[in-house]
Parts: sequence; structure tokens; C-alpha cells
Amino acid sequence: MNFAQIAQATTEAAPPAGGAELLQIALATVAAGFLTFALLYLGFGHRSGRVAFLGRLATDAERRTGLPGWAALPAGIATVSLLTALFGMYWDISLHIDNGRDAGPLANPAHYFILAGLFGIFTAGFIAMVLPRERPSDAAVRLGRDWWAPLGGVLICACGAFSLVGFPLDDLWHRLFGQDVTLWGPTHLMLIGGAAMTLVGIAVLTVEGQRANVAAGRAEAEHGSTRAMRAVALTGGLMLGLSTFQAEFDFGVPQFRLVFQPLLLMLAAGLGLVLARIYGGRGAALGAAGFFILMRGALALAIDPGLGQTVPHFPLYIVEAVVVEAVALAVTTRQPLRFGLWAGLGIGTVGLAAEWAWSQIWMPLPWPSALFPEGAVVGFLAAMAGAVLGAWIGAHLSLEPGVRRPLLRQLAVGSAALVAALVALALYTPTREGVSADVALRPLAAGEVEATLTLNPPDAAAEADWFDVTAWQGGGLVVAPLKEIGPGRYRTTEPVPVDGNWKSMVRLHEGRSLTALPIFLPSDPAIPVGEVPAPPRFSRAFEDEHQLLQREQKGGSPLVVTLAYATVASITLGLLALIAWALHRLAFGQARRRHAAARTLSPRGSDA
Amino acid sequence: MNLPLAHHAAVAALPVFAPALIIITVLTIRYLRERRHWDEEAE
Repeated sequence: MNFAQIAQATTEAAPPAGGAELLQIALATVAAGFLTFALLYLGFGHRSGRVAFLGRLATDAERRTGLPGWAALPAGIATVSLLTALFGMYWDISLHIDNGRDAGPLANPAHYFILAGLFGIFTAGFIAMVLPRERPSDAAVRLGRDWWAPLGGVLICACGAFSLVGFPLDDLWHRLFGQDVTLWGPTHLMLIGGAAMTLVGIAVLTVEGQRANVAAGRAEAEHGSTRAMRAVALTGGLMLGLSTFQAEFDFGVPQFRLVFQPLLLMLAAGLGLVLARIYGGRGAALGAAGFFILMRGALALAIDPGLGQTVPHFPLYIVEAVVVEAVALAVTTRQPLRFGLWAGLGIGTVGLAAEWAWSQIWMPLPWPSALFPEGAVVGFLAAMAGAVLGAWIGAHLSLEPGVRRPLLRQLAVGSAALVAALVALALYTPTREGVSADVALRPLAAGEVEATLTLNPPDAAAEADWFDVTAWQGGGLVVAPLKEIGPGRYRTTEPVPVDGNWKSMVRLHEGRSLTALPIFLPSDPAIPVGEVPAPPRFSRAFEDEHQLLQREQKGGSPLVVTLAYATVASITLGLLALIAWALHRLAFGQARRRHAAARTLSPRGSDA
Repeated sequence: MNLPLAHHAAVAALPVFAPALIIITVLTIRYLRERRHWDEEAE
């Protein structure tokens, strides 16, 4: 029987699926107005010399770090803001997993942290842009006759704006297509992608600060503690940012193929750790992994048991970091391509094997043998691509003027294309038809049952990537594997909730197919959909699981869908192009300026 | 009273982006005005 057919609309009350209270809009507008005024007043007041507040803060930051204030202060604000947004993001996801959608936009406390964090990032970029009185670096961007903004500040500001524009676009997206209850909605990716890319902006800003120190004859001015913190926290932060894309897997409710987990994990390890070692020097890869574990460990403890929500698990990256440090002993990082390729080779083999083992120990969905060999091949390719990209970015973050490396550039472009191709291939998920199950439910405690399934065909789950019971949004999360008790017969290993707001289902991921069979789904008049009841015995078919996991989603016309995706894609490509341009300007701006100066001195353009 | 174009987790959507939008607009206008001046000076 089709579960869509057995669903019947009911009239009971449900949390709203759209709209926001006028009071909440008014509050947000007042807060936004105040923040806008404060930033403009402080920023332009500083530039005109009438307001000394930002200057005093910058001087203090310079005294504490040894980096120029226009780099130290914004880098600090951006770092704190990123950590704030990161905490808000994981808390928010755990709240949605456990409780479903919010009663209203400001009804979820985690949103305040996300908003404060993202706005803090934008603020950091703006402050970096207004602070310098003189041209701060060769790569600086001219904004006025006597106004040069650090390139890193422009990047941070752009990343913050990119994230923030995700909010209205997200709203519009949900209005058009319903609420896609997944982290990987296009506009959700804008929110977290912009925040993650901020780390590149902070790195660029600190390189400009270091160069300014060197140019001023203060090469040793940066404090040792700042240098160590920069090498570890910045690169560790990048690992945190790159790992946010894995969050659905960390919680145990991925809505995409399991092969994405080794893909994303190896991409993050390759890019982040290779970049860490090139940018931060000896020990930086280990430091980055240590910082990552420390922060994610603290975050996990804060969410569970701290806030009593579902815990976000995390990868370790420690073996990959050891591999990168070991490779650096044999291959100099001054040859970034060679170093990156060897490091990628080690990460994609030894590191991948270590993460495979770690998934058996702590990940909510351990990687099964069915994931091999595809997971190993995809993971290896992602590690190699990530390592080349990390080498390319790292080579551009050097203190010395850039060296042109056409082969590295070409391979970096190829690696980006490879990653895009791997993602596109993994996104292809045709639904396997013709799988069903006879289900018998045995009551346990009130509102809980034990389920016994007889699969048809019996071997439908023999090569499954996952085959489990998932129950969520009813006040917690249950992800429990099914135990085979006979040929084609399976039994649940944990009580399955079948009342209240719980959404309980059997999920089957086999090959490219992602299907699910509902055990119990509540009625939801706000969408609207009816209840899928849980009688003692029933037979249902496995169907495309997106219909179950994203009940709020609604389709749109092909033209609107194409326009929506094209808009998000063009904004995203714009940000990526800006980052690539900025890295190029950082590496070669110095040489170009000297060349321009030489041409000015020699009117005919001759160096002779 | 519920406003239709603001829901989900978007936290009042447009007001949230407004500060960034206004500041970027101010910076852009200033940049374009100043640029005209320094272009004229260069000539």
C-alpha cells in the first residue's frame, strides 16, 4: 500500500510552516537598524578622525599580538564570530533533529548565535576595511583617494555578506519550494559556505599584517604566542569550517548517499591539513587536528549532555595530520605541488583507512563493507584533489612574493572540476522500485514498539550501506540498526516511538538508491499532510525517502527551479571567483606594483 | 499577525541582511564617487 494513499488530512493544531509574527519582524528590523547605524558611525567616524573608539581597540590588539591593529582586531572579531556561529549551527541542527521545525523565527535560541556570528563576520570585514590610515599592503584594494582597504578585510566582508544574503534567499526558497529539512539545501549551503570561506579571508589579512611588519622593519614584532595561535587556530578553524558540510552524517541522519562522507572527509583533510602545513610550518597540521578535536569535543559536550540534545559526532583527522607531518619531513613544502601530491596519497590511503576504523568506533552510521570499493576510490580521489587545492592556496599565502606555478594552477583547476564531478555523480540517486516489507509491531512501553520486518525480496538489504530504523523530531533521535533474525527477516534493536510528533521509519540505502518505509508519521495540517498510522500489522512499500524526510517540501515549475538554482549558483561562483582573484592578488600584487613603479621611472617602459 | 514572506529559520530574513546591504551600498557609492575624482586627477 502506498503511504501517500493511506495518509488522511486531519484538523488538529500544528506548528506553523510559514510566516513570522509582526513583532518578531519589528524586533529584527530595530536591531538591524541599530547595528547599521553603529557600524556606519564607528567606521566613517574613525576615517574622519572624529571617533577614536575603533582606533583605541586596534592599538590594544596590536600591543597584545604584535600584528598591525587593522589585521589583529578584525581577525580576533572574525574568529570569535565564527566560533559563535559554529556553536549556533550545531545546536540549531540538533534542535531541528530532535524537535522538528520551529514555532517561529525567533523561537529557537540557536538562531541568535548564528545571526550574531554571521553579522560579526561581516562586521570584522568592515572594521578591517575602515581601520588603516595608510595603504596597508601591496595587495590592498583602493576605495578612495586616501583609503586603501586590506584585501583580507574585503574578503571577510564579502564572505559575511554572502552568508547573510543566504537568509532572505533561504526564506524565498522555502516560500517557493517548501521547507527542505536538510542541511544541504542550496541556501543553507550558502550560509555555512560563506562562513567557512571566511577563514581564507582571515589568512589573507594576517599575511598582509605580517608583510606590513616586514616592510616596517619589524619582522619579529609578532608575538610567539600569536604566531602559534595563528598557525593552529586558523588552520584548525579551516578544518572546522570544511567539516560543517558533513554535519548530517555526524548526527546520523544523512539524506544523501553514504559515499559523501568519505568524499567530504577526505576533501577536508587533504585541503585543510596540506594548507595548514604549508601556511603554519612544522607541527601546524597536528596543531590544526588538535584544535579541531578540542573545539568539536567541547561543542559535543556542550550539546550533549550540556543542552540535552542529540550529540554531533566528528572525525579525528589525527592520522591524516601525522601523515602530512611525516611527508613534510621528506618533501619540502617549498615545493607545494610535490608536497601536496605525496600528502594526498598518504591521506587518501592511510588516513582514509583510519577514518574507516574510527567510523566503526563512534560514528552513528559505521561505514560497511558495501561502501567498498566505491568509498575508497572516491575518498582517495577527494584526498588528492583536496591536497592539490590546499597546496595551491598555501602557495599563495606565502610571505614572499608569489612564484608562478602554471602546473599547480592547472592541476588545482582540474581538482576543483574533479570534486564537482564526484559530487554530481554522488548526487545521482535513482530509486529502486519493487521493495516492500510486511511489518509486525509489538507494543513495549507506552508509545513504543518493537518492529519485525519481512522483506520482499528477502535479499533487498544484503548489500545495504545502511538499513536501520530512524525516528526523529518527536523529542529526540533514534538511529538503530536492524538485526537479521532469519532470511529476509529483521528486528529492531531499540524501542521505536510511534506517537506524538515522532516520525519513525525504516531507512534502506542500497547502491545508489535511498528509500524508506514509514512506521509512523504524525498528521501535520500546516503543510498539510495526514497521519500515517502504526497498526499492529501492515505491508508497505519502500519509496523515495525524500518524500518522508522532507514532507514540507513542495515542487516548483521547471523554469522557477532552474532560475532559483542558477541564482544561487551564480552568487556562489561569484564568491569563489573573488577568493581566487584575491589569492592571486595577494601572491602577485607586490611584484605587479614594483613592475608598475619601474615602468613609471622608465617612461618608455624599458628597464634599461 | 503573521507576515508571509518571512518564516522558517530565516529569522525575519530581509531585516537581517539589511545592515550588510546598506553598508555595501554606502561603500559602493562612495567608491564610485571617489574613483571619478582620482580618475580626473590622473588625467
